[in-house]
Amino acid sequence: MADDDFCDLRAVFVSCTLKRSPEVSDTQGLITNSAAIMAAHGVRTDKVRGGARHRGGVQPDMTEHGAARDDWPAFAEKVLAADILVLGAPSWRCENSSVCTRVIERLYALSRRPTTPVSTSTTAASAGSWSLAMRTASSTWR
Amino acid sequence: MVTGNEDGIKHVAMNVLYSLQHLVYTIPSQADAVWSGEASPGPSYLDEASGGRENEFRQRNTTFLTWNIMHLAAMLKRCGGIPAHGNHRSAWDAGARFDHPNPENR
Repeated sequence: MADDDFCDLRAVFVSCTLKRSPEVSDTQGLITNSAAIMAAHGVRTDKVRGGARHRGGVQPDMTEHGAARDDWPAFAEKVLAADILVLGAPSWRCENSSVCTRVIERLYALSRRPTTPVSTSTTAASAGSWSLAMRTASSTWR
Repeated sequence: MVTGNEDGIKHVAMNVLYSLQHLVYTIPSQADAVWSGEASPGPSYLDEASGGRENEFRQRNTTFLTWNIMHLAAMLKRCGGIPAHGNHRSAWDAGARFDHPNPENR
């Protein structure tokens, strides 16, 4: 891999907007610029809205702890399979958005996983058993 | 990357970047890019009149942030990440102390 070769990298861009999809998000607009640069240099980028769909919780999968539904595990697979995570957030009342805070809370809950590797990189953990076929550069936000 | 119509954007970046390093993400230098416009109610980033997209300071920070992330990620990928020595939880639990001074030896 040459110094200017980024083709084996994966990046996840998370827009932690407070707006409900599909309302246009300024946060999303801001971080799209960075995603465009990476995609132009071969980084496989995945762009997702943090969204209010993620339940709060201190476990990787809250359905194992009584929650009727938890969309976080599928989301976490994307994040853990990526080399790069970029969080975009709106400042609201001078504070971070609740969506971004929740994303960080759920990432923190993953550190309870017994399989967390000791070798760190830009990923929170290696893919390990969380293998996932990442989509390649996409112009759409999901 | 943070946007908003009021102050506090670097406060948010501070929170996010601290949180991510605590979760064992590696943070590159100049890892934030923010845009708020004037610190008052006003146009948002994507609004035509906001000037956000044309703002050179935002463009520069976004660009440098992106390349810093790409370079560091590529470097770590090439060398297999931060070496697993001195930071090994199971080894610590098994008694290894990786040269931390022994408090008994005073």
